[in-house]
Amino acid sequence: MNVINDLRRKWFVAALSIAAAVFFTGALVFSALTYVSVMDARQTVTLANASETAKLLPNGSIALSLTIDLDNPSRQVLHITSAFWTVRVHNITSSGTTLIPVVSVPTVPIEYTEVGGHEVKTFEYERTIDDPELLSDLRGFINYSASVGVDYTLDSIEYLHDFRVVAWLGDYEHDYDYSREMYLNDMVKIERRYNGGEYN
Amino acid sequence: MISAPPIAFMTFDFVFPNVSTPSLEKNLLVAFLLSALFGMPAGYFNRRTDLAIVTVLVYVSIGYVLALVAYSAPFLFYDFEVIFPGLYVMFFLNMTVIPMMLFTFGGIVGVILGQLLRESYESDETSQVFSRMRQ
Repeated sequence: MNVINDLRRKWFVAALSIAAAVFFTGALVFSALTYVSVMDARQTVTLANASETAKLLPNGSIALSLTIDLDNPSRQVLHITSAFWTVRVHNITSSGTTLIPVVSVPTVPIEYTEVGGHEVKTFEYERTIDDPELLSDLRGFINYSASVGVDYTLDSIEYLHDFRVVAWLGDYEHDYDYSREMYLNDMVKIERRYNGGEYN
Repeated sequence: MISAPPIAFMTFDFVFPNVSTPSLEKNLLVAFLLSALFGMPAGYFNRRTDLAIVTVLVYVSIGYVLALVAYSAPFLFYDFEVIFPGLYVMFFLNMTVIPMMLFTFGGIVGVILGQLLRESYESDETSQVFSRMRQ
C-alpha cells in the first residue's frame, strides 16, 4: 500500500516510467515479430519448377534454356543482387573428370530486382551455342562416350545447369564489415542454388 | 519492474540491431545513459538504497530473460529450425555479457540519481510546506 501511495503522490514520474515501459514492451514485441518474419523468409523462400531444355537447331548449333521460379511465400521483400546461370558437361574419363563449360551468364541487369511478399518470380534464360570450338569439344565428348558404349547427341547430353541467386531481405541493414558482426549479414541474406537437378 | 522491458529491448537490440525498431545501433554510451535513466525509478521510489540496488539486479535479470525469450521466439513459439543448435544460447550470452554489466552499472548510477532527485523533490516540498505555515 505504501508503494501505491507513493506512486499516487509522485504520479508524474510514475506515469513517465509506465509510458516508457509500455513503449519498450511494444518495441520488443514488434522487433521479435520482425525477427520471426525474417526467420520465416529464410526458411520458406525456395527455388522450384526448374525446366531445362536443349534443342538442336538446323544450323547445327544448340539452344539451351532454363526456366526456374523463385517462390517467396513470406511477407518480406527480396532485393535480388545477383543471379548466375551456368551450364557445363562433366566429361568423366579413365584419367579423371574434366568440365566442359558451355554457358556462363552473370545476370547483372537484374540487380535491384525485387520480389514482393507472397510472389513468385520466374527466371528465364536461353543461350544458343554456336561457338565452333565449343561445339567441337561437345562432339569430342559424344565420340568418346560412343567409344565406351554410351550414345549421346548434342541435344541429349546431360547438361548440368547451375543457377544461384542471392538476395537481401527487406530494407534491413547489412554490409557489416567487422567479422564479429557478420552474422547480421547472414541473417538477412538469402542464397539459393539449383545444381544438377537438386535444390539447395 | 517497469524498468525490465527497456532492458529486455536494449539487450535484444544489441544482438539484432538490424531488425529491431527503434535501434540503438550497438551504441554503448546511449545504452548506458538509458540504463541510468531506467535505474532512476528504482532509486526514486525506494527510500532504502540496498533495496533499490537489489531491485536493479532483479529487473536486469528479468529483462535479460525476456530478451532471451524474444531471441528464441521463432523456435519457442514457431516451428523454425535453430540456426546454430550447439551454440544457440552461448551465442546470445557471449554477445550480451558486456551490455548486461553496463545495464547493471547504469542502473546503480540511476539509483543514485533517482535518490538525489527524490531528496531534492522532498526538500523542496518541505520548504514549501514551511513557507506556507509561516504565512
